[in-house]
Amino acid sequence: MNICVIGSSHVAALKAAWDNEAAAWPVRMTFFAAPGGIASKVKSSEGIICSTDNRLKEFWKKTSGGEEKVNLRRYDALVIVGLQFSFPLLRAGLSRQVREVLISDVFCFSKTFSFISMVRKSFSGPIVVCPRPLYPEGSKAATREDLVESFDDTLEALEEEGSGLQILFTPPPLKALSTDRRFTRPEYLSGAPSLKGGEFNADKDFDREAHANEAYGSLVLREIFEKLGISQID
Amino acid sequence: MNPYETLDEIFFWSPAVAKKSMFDINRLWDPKFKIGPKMKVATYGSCFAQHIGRALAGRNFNWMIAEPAPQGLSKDNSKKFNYGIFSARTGNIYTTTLLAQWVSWATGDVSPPGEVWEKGGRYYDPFRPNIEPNGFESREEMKVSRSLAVEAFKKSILECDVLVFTMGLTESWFNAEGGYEYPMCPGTVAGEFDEKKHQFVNQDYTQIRKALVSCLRGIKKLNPKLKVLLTVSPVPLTATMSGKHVLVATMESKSILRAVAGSVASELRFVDYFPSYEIINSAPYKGAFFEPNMRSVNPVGVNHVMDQFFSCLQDKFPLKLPEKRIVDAGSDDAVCEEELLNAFQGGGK
Repeated sequence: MNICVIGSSHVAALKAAWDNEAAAWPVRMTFFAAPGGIASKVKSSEGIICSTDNRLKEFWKKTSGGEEKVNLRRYDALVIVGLQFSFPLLRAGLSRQVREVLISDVFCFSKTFSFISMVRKSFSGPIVVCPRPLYPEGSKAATREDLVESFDDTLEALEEEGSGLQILFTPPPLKALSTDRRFTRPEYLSGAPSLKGGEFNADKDFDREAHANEAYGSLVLREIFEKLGISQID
Repeated sequence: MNPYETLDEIFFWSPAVAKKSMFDINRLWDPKFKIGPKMKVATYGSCFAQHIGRALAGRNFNWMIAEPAPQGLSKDNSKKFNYGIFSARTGNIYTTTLLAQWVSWATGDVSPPGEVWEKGGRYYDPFRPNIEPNGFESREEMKVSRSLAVEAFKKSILECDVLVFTMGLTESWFNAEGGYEYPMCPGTVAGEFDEKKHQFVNQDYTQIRKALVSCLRGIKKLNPKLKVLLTVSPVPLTATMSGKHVLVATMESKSILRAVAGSVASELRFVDYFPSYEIINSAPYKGAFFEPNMRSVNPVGVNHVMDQFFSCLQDKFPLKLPEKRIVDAGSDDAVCEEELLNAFQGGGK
């Protein structure tokens, strides 16, 4: 199976894991990564995703091993990583109406879903969406939602909302989360690889607030393969 | 030499008003205290209070939102569900007695009544009847939501530096049995009107002033550093139960509120009054700041009021003001439950 991974800087954790585990899986993965701000500046026509943004083209060329465009016809599945999509944390006490509207808004207004809507017109294979990691405890960005509940309900609502586009979601891996499912554990954030200049750099402790490490990438990899029904090579 | 001879020109009608373009009339407010960009400002009250909060945010002032919209909710839906309209999801607090009621819930002196309104299988909060467009799916959901609003209201009172309260109405509806007040007449948005239970009270100067002073003193005990800025909503009544023509009832109500605000601001050192009501409503402005319905305040009016607010602050307390952001000051998008009464005009007559 040929899998195309398109995403933002969060792809780096997945790529780091893949580099160590590729031999264990009966698939081929090609990565197209670029910083979140430019990663969705693309057009799609007849199965080709391309961009006029030279910076993005340069990132894609480096991360994919030479490709400036994505030819979707070469792939059996598409994996979207990050692209400014966060798993919505619903704080306690929100009414059902607000929850439903919130999930719908996450779809309507995120770049991820406009990207998928565009791609879906010419790609009928499975599309797996992986959100960016949750922030760690103590992060300023993480304190906005103070009481989280219904993690499973949120996932279910997301899948229902995404069913029209046949999207498969991988939630943040439970093993990497705090027991209250609000934060990413620090051990999955330290040593996060970067995507600086289009080079996957696993040696740098990139950003402990927003980016996860290879161990986290490994968990996500398993979630993706589980969604796609892929088993490890015996 | 008489005492008038030494007065500044703003104390004389001719130079201060008659000889000026209405847009050049200035120095209308002499602020008692500084409101700086870093100070936390909470806003509550009638419909017009929404413009103050938005203008503060638009100038990068620290408008305190104690009950923010959940992350990811769009701007339109946040407004639809009353997030970011006031500092907590209280809905409109039209009267000083309603403000006192919210304060009593926040302090825990009184528990919110257990009354719930049901309509078409949905449940409505009698004290925030329009807070969710189609009500709540259960009584429990409604009560949880209200308790969050009470908590957020309390947090805003405890933590803010300045509380802005816009007084809107003298006309009010009470539950005679329970002794509590509704923001809207039962049976309008939801609920069922019961003439034995639901009592109309057109509050007079004494009642309003007493409630306001007692409430503000109570708030000051909770937060001793707190300053209060009162305004009076220039928006006329949508409907009146007073038995007087709505125009006459409006002028009477607003005059009473204006008199109370001025009197309380004179008496209490921590209370000030900002004349947004005068800027919109007084004769030199020729009604130019109203929309064609002569009720809603237009964006030019809102911007002019807020420009006056910031320029008077700046004159008295020179500050390095943050740059103004472009904000939508449209008056028609203010969330105003009272306007729902329009749906009942002419009914059965």
